[in-house]
Amino acid sequence: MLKTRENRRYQILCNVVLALLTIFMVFPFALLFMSSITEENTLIMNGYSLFPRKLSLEAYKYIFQNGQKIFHAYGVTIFVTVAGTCINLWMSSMLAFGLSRKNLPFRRVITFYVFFTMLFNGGLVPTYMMYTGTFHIKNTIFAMIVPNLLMSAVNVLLVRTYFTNSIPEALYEAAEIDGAGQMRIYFQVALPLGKPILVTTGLFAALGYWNDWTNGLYYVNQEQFWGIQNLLNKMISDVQALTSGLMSKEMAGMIATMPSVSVRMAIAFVAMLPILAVYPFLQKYFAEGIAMGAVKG
Amino acid sequence: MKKRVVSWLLTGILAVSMLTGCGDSAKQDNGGSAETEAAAKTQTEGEGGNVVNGIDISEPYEATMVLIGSQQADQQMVLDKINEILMRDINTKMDIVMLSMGDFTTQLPLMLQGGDKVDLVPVINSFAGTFINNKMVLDLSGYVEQYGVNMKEAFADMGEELLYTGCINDFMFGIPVVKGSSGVSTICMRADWLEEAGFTREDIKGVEDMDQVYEKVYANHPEAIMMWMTKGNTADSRYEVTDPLTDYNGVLLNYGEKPEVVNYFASDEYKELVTRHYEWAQKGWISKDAATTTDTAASAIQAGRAFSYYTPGGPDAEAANSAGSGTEMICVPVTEGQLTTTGYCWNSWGIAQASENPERAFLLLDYLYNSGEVTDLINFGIEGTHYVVGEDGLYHYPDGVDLTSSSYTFNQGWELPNQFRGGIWEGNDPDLWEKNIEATKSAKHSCALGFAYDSSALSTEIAALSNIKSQYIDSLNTGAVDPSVELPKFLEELDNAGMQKVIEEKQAQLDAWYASK
Repeated sequence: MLKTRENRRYQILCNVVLALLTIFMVFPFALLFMSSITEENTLIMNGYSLFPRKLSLEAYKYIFQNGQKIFHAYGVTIFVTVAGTCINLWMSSMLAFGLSRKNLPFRRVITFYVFFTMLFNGGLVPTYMMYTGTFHIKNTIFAMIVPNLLMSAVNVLLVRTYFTNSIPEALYEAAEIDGAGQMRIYFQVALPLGKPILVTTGLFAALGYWNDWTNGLYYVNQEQFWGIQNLLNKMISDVQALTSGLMSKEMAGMIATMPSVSVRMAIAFVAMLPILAVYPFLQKYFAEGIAMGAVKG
Repeated sequence: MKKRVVSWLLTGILAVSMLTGCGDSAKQDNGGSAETEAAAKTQTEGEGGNVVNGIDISEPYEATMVLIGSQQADQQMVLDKINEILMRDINTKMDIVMLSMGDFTTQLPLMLQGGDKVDLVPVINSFAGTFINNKMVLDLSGYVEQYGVNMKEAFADMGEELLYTGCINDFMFGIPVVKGSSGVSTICMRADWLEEAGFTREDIKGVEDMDQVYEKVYANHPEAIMMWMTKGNTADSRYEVTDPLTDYNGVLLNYGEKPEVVNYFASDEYKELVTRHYEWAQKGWISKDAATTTDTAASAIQAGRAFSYYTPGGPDAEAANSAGSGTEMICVPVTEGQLTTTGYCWNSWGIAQASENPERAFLLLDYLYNSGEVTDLINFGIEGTHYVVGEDGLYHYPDGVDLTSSSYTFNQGWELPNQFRGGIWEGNDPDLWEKNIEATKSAKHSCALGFAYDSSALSTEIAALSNIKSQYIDSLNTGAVDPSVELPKFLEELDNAGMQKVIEEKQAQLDAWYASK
């Protein structure tokens, strides 16, 4: 490629823009982390700062010493994420595989049925009644796994498109000629070749599970089933309720028992860490999978 | 062809959803009425021993009560003890569902609309309208007249009209909890800084006296904020000299002296308040961030960043606020005590529409209004295990147990039906309940006490007014903006949004209520 002056200028511009964007993304994390290691009183006196006057690891100490609740919630989140993602991948890839086969009877109707859920849903109260009244998942671990997150039409359609477009039909035919049944084709042809898209949708699902707090909010009121995000949400919304004028004088005492500001920051940071750590390793599949699955077929 | 399939599919889905919808509600209705019929029948046939307060109790009943608070480790153990008593007295078992303060505003409406099995639910008065309109709670007025023996007695000391403050348009959404008047606004100050500046609590008679105090204290502690305010927790909700008639859209001035609805924000009282705060802010006594911060006053005091703040007062204000911030506080009332519907009925107990047997649920509620034994169990746990009664009559933790190690620390007496029947925790005045009753009796009674307006016809105006208020109030109240510029703008926008219409409607409803009294 010719290295013209314009090209260079363009490069510099791009880099500056990207660098700025990166700073926008990194800054909140850095601030969050720094506040979590700032001494509590300094935090209240001087506010949040990247270069706090006084550092302290008290917040992390508090988490590790008194944090049975926090670790329990962490465990719940990990379990829910792993179990939920596996079931999610298994179900959506199976459905998507079926939909990708041209000889499936009623293929269009079923595809529409899946697609329809992207446009309409029952709304909160009917959904709640369905799950609690019919399926009785309230206050069980299923409440954290099943509603909303178990299956997403977007993921199914992404995977289906990938199966139809990126895996040559000839491969399926070859497998059939060799005597493979549909199950065998699914496990030995479609799944291995569909790895990029499965990683992508898997990551979507895992992120969804990891970050979800609405299921816990709607369907669970026993703390043993709460994930880390619910715990965090509870702490923050309790403080908000107290400061939003909802408070009566009798509740003033509740404030004393609430974890302080830096502890909240520390928990938020701890809750975020695993996702931050896993992301770079999956990134290479990520872009590839979306680009290929996104082409409409 | 394709279109036809789609349209059939859609029709099918609609039809199915309609069918299921109808079937469900029809079933519920039948169930409900059949049950009440059955109950009514047995009541007439029932023998003396099986009827309490006119309600038949020959069949056992299990009632679910929703409480605001966090789950306790020993909850089941305490519940078993409670049920022993309840089975003995009213043949009822109780189950407790704990919702946290932040969650209950989301979860409770879902549970009520979703047909969960709940009986007794806390109703916060700002949600009452929604609860009524969405048919989540029952109208209790008939029940109170017929069966409310204990609750009438519980309110007898302070004036029976307080029992009826939980009504909107004759719909009684809940029975208020028994409590003292919380209408006195207070300024809480750090005791040590106040003393250092050479003042005592007697020096402060009203909010006018704060200027000289702040001047001295500010000289000693220039880095601190004199008056700590937070978003939504600013003076208009904490410095109360009016009867707000639920939402401050049209109020009764002067603690509700005359039944004349006026615009609070256009009153001299409000102008004086925001001007005073503007002056304080100019002197650096109020934080520049006050309109947006959510850091609680307690944490600011604890960190040595603030000197004082407004808070609702009462006989136990000093103990509660000192405990909350871990610092000795002096709390001085700056308004007179007042008694308004809004203030008194802040939280009440309602009965869910989905209750399987509202009479029995009501019986349990009525029972709680008189049972110190059960109140103590819910509030503090089991005597000897979770608390002991000291020689002074106050409740303490047993030896070797404290807040962090105790397995039952609910301690939310404010939300229980009648905490005056229960014990008092250490650190409080042993005569707290009597003092509360005294304070309530001597408070200025608003002439609209017992009146709550029905806002359903005004929802557009009220939404518009709330929007405008949320734009202006925080910055005006914290003195962040100059009232001589912003206040007229605020008033003009309120007028455009229909303040006058709301005031007229309120006035009409108030007049009608007054006439019927």
